[in-house]
Amino acid sequence: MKPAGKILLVSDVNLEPFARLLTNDEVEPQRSQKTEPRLEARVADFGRLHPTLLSGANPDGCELALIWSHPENAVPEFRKVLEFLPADHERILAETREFAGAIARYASGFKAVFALPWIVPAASRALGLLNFRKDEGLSYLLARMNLELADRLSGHANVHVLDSPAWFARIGEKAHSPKLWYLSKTPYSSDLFREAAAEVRAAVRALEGGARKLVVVDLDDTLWGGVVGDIGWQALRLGGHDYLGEAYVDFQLALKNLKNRGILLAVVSKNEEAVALEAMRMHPEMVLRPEDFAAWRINWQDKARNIADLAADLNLGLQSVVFIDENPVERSRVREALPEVFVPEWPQEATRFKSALSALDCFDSATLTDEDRKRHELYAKEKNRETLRAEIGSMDEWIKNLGMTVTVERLSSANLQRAAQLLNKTNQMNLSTRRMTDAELMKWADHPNRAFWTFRVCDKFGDSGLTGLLSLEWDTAGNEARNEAEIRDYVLSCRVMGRRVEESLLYVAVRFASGLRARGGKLGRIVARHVPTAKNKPCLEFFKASGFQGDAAGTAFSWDLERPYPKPDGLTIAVSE
Amino acid sequence: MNGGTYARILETLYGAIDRVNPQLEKSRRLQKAENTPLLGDGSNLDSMGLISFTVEVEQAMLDKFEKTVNLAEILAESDNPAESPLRSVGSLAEYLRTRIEMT
Repeated sequence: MKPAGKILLVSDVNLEPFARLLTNDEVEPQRSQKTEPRLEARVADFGRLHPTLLSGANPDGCELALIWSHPENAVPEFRKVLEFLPADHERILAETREFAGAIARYASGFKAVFALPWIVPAASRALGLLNFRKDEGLSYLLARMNLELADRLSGHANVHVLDSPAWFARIGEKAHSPKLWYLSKTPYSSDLFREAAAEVRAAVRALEGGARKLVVVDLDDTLWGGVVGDIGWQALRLGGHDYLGEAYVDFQLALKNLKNRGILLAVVSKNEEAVALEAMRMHPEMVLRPEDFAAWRINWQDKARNIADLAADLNLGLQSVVFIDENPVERSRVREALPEVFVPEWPQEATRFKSALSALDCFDSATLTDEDRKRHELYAKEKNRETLRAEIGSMDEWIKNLGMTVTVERLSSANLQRAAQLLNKTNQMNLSTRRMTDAELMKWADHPNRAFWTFRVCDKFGDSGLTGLLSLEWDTAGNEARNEAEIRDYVLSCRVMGRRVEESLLYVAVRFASGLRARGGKLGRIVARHVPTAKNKPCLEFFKASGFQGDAAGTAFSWDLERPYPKPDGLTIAVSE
Repeated sequence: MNGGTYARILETLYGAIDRVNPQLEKSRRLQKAENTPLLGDGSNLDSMGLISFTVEVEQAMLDKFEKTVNLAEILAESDNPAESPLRSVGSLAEYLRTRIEMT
């Protein structure tokens, strides 16, 4: 369980039951994650929506805030629409912009702020037939207001507009509780609050970089109907004029959609590999072919062992893995053996597979970049590199053969989003595991005694993208007296580990610090302090072997700036200042 | 018949407890037992918790028995917790049973 984050609920209604649920609920198994963030909710005075936003009030020092307002209170002119009185629509949109501005200003005091769009009031038919008539209907106007709100807030990196209308749609007519409203000024039912709490937790998890990256699926009766080893690929239920066959095809399409947004796919199945791969290649209605999978383990070994091996081969921690299997015995075995792997409960019938997959919130992430979309391609290229490595015996020859170029760039608005994403999601090769939003990162780096670089890696197989981060701090409080420059962030994606990119980061750090020293600085050494987490031991092991001198505790490592750090052999380092 | 209705109502109340407990701190969660106090000094429910619980019970009675009961009125009239139908889970189940069998 992660440490609690404090969230302030700012609303024009009483959200006390929601606050209690966010703070005290034990999450349902279907949506549970071992990395589920634990929240402590506080409630701002619900009679003071605008004054709270305008004053910036945050008496309990919460890191997060949720703004849950209602259109007639957030936008006073809108109340006339509810009363069927003539209303000034331009004024409504202007007031919407003012409200968005108030949220944006309020957000400057928080790490992240969630804002909810508005919905048509409960059980209101309003103008019925006219509800979506241009410039007249209530629904039309609310849609415009919501777009205005989202547009105005989109430029603020730490403000996230949550898709709350979807929560109401899922709960339906039981989302509202008139009785609770009249008794306590709480308009919503516990059903809606449970849905909202799960969504808020998913959003926090996404911001913390907790998104799952790999879906491991079984084959027989999961990806297709039937046991391929018994009946042959020609007799599998997949596609055709068959409702179950169609359902399996739809499930495969849903998995392929996940792949398109950067989630890796893999197979772990008890089967003969040749038989299973033949089915994947030959069946005319197979959507997912072998090339769609980053890896597979198709054999008769224990599935938990296979999943662990497969994740290790892909350089992914088990906390990145989701395992889908229709067999409850296999699910139970994997849950027990690998508690970090998320094993969702799974429907018995294939007609519900697609919706079960679509409902999982464990893939939510704060951003979706081009590199995410290309992740599968990047892993495919990695497979080629590993093949080359197996063919070429020595490390030196392999690195040389790859023709690698490491391009070093300063942090800028152009690479900020990807840099923040890498900073927040990297666990293993991460020296200090600092987590920062885009805005916090830029603010930290924008200091005369700090430098922050990004590293891109490409080779003859392709571009691995922005996969490394390095930051240095010198002559600031804490290190000035010690005449040292400190490596504050040392982050490397598992995609490029083991290719001497690790040493390249240190080469750049030492070279830069030596330059400062040559220009009259008093720096004597550069130091890296390892902040241990449950997952960043690989980083510690690297530093132990890096040539930097370890201290007695074995957690701080330094390099004397009188000596240059050796440039790694076999690759080109291009520094773009 | 009476015993069966009472048992079904008790199950309904336990369902409401399951729905309200996630809002309560672990140490203050309601036990699914007839002698669990709901109102008065021994209760783990504060006023907001009591409102949430009674609304859950009202909805569950409507869903399962198609009966509208107004516990908010009883709550408002409960000057003496020791005599209120809301004094415990068991007394509430008994009150609801008589309401069902009267109509």
